[in-house]
Amino acid sequence: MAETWNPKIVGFLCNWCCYAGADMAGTSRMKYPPNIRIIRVMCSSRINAEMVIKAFQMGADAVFIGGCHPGDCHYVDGNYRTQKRIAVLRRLLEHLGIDPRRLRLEWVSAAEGEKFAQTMDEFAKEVAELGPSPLAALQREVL
Amino acid sequence: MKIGVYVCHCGVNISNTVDVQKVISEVSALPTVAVCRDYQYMCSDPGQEMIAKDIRELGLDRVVVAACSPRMHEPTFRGAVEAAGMNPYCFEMANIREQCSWVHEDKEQATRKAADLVKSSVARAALLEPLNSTEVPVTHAALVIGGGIAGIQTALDIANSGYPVYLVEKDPSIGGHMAQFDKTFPTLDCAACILTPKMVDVARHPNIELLTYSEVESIEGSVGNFHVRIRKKPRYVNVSLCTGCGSCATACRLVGRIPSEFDMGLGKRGAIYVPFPQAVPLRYTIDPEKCLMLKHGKCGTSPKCVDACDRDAIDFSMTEEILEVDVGAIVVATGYKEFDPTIKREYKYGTFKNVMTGLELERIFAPSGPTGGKALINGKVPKKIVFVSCVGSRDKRIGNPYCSRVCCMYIAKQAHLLKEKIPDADITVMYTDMRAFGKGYEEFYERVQKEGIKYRRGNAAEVYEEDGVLHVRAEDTLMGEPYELEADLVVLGTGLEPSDAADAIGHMLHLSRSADKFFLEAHPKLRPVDTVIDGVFLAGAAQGPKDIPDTVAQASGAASHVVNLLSKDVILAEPIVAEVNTDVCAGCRICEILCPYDAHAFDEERNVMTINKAICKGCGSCAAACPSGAIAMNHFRDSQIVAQILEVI
Amino acid sequence: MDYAFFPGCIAKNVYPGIEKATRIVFEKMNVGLHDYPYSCCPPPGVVACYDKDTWYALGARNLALSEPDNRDIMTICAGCYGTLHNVWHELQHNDAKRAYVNEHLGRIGMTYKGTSRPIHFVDLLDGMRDTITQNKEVDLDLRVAVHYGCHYLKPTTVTGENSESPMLLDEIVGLVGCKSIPFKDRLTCCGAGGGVMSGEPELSLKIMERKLKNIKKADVDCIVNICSFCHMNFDQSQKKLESFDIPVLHLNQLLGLAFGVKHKHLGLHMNLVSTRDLVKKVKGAKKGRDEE
Repeated sequence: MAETWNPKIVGFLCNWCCYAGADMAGTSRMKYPPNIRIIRVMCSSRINAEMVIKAFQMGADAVFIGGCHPGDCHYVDGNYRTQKRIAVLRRLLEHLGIDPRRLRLEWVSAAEGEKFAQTMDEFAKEVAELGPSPLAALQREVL
Repeated sequence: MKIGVYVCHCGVNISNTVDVQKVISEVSALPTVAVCRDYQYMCSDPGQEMIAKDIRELGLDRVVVAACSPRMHEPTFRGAVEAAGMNPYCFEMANIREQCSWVHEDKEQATRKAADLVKSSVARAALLEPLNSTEVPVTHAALVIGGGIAGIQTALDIANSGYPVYLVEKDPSIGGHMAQFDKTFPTLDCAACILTPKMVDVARHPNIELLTYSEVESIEGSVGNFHVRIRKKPRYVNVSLCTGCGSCATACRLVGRIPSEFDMGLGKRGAIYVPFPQAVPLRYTIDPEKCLMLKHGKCGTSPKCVDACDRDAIDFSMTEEILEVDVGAIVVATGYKEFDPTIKREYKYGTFKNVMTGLELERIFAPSGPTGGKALINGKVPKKIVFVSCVGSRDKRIGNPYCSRVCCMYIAKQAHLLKEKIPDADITVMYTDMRAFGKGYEEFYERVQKEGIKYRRGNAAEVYEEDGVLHVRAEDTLMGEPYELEADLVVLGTGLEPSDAADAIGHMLHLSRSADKFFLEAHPKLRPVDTVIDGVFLAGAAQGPKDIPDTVAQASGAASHVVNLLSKDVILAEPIVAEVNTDVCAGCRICEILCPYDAHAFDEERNVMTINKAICKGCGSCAAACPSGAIAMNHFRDSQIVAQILEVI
Repeated sequence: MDYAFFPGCIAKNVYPGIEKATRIVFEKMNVGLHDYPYSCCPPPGVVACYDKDTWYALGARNLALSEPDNRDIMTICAGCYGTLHNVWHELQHNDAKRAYVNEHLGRIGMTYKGTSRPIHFVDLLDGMRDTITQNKEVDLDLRVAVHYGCHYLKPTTVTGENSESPMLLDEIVGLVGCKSIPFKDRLTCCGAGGGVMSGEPELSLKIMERKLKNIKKADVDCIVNICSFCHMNFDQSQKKLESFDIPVLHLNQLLGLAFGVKHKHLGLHMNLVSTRDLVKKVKGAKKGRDEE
């Protein structure tokens, strides 16, 4: 690779908890690496497998999904659905040759700015260790 | 497609880290972007006017603002574009402050990220569709949960505006913690004298339905239309017959044998009781855990209370009732509970009877309390008294790093009252930092010091007993030396924690908690009374430790928000709901079981699913699961999300 | 269960009874203790003050010895525990320090991975309460003054202990029928650690005298500690001060008595303060039980 590689992380954050938690990290001026690009959805259960796979297909090195803590979902139990779907999706990713560690699901409450920043820090490091996603490399070749 | 993009500097909050000009030059190059401008403060009047002018003059059909979090200003800008004639749902926001300039330090990378985010918003904006809000009727009634001073004030304010209020209180009487206090700081008015008239007003108010000894069982619905189930626990006393004469209580075989909760266990009651003489409603309640008749089915030859009651009000066959009510707004006023100091073992609370909490001492002071208001601790007048502040507050070791805000002042008040009752008492307050921030508080603190109360900085390390005398050890952090004092009475300035009821209520309403476990307000500064759930408001210590004036102010604030809402006949519901394309739907019914609100109804005739817009809350769980892609989640369509993904990578 | 056994200098060189008692007691409880060529821990008050890097390196060497066998390290002295645990804790998150340590260990053909954790034996006993009760042969019925030792409790950010009001040791002596008697300032330093005993012997003795006075008031049968260094200070200082006569037992010696081990096997006769009356009392209790 010619230029220095920086992991690209696509984040899907639920509006009520994790997105608010990310805002809290901001208002508290907590620093974390700028790898993530956040896309806001109302509930983490809005995310389907296609969106995640699309992200990998287009060259994301990792995908982060953030929802409310169990029992705190704004829509009663959307986060449980997310959890189940992600569990299945992980196995699917393996078949696609993508390390399932590249897909991370985390519960972050609106008050947990610190947790969000820490998670971003950790995840960016972890993805950096994993190296570029094989699909991303493929994508670059095609282009 | 004509998209206008506006990048905000937010003073220097954004432009210090993000190179705004670079973002603009990159975004301007996009084919869909008709105009791209920057401004110091987009949310200000000139900023909003800049957008409105462009909409009118350039005929923009989409607007993207790159600024702070949409959770902050999306409603502001939606309003602005709507006023200029654009559909508000054709507006999109890119969060380049909270999620970019404030959290990153590397300017180049932050600028890269900001540009990506704006481009992603532009791509999304191009695919946004105009949506129209639907009107939802409003039920003109309110529910107030909690009958302490916060709930009382809220209920009275709403009721006085002419709307019906259901006030639910779990205990047999309203009044809450304030009813337990003797005097209030800093003015030293008697708590009962200012509280009981309000309690009576509540009971007599034609617009208030008072539901004491009741708990909220479940809450469904949303702003304007909540459906609430309330469980009325059986009192085993017919309240319409009971006159509150008290003959039953004196007759009870267990009279004076059960620790009174209201007196913090220092006084005793019987199995049939009122918590305190000024209780509202002044109706008796039988404690099912203690009553011999209810527990063992037998009370001597016959229950004495029944014999004593002239009105035949006692009814052991009573069962709980479920009451269902509809309301348009809800106020959560569940208050606080006192920190349990047994966790701080070093203070030996529970081991020594003369180590007591602030709330216990309040009962000692109260004229109606266990000692009739005499300063007697275990039958003796204490001469050496030590107050320990910050017990359960500002203490990371036990997980409560926050300040409870009332302890400094109630300690000052209690020290004053003790000095008044025992002029030769030697009183020392061990404090961490003095926080006398309210109106008249600092002056009161000074007055108390002049009365001879000694303040020593540095909190107590340990309480121990030697030769039958309590000793408190501490470090004087101003003198830099350890010292210890003998004490006949150690008062722990216990802090505040959210009440136990907060868990259940929080779950029912999906309310978030802040790190201190109190309920999280919608905005720490500008929306301290709202929650993120529309139609649900906070009052009093449920939101965070508060003194009485602040509680009452917030309660009135919550009431005004409720009245504001209830004064409308209809409110606009967000059109962000799921819709079924019946041409594509195969009728598999997978979505039906996913919906937490039962918004889905299957049309047997056409073999397709339908979604009730009024019920749907817009989570999009069904849209994600639909195998044929027949369900479109308005404003968060697959195509809109995918367009964003493509831009950020 | 198997552990690497870190006896520490004092148990090895001054109070062999502590080491012996430990080996007997843990064998009875079916815990395998394994020996390694350990050096001195080295003590925080002596080495860390002068050269912290060397302290890390030496501590890391001790920690690394049992890594190939995947064994955690059991210590019987709060000082050793303090050193090993502090070193382990620092190296867990300080990558630079870890690289430094490994550079030095590399010269003697070793690497530090951090896979073996130091454990204070009293924390181990916490999880073995049933085993202690099962092995108990004698209800000791003694009034004891417990002493935790500063390095076991502090710094709390590293140890995770409740340094204001710990109860673990009180509960464990309770398992073998002893009653922990509260006394004034029970959590203060004994005067030994932190280099005080060697650097300021007079001050150290003053601290100890105050401590002993408080214990004397509590009218106990013996002092029970979980630290060889505190043990040494309690025992030796009483000889210097002369006005006290309170037997000093390491917790493992106390457990040994409760498990029915002969006092000579526990090295109690090697203490400076006579344990004769105490042993007699315990024998009486045992005899009473046998006759029943």
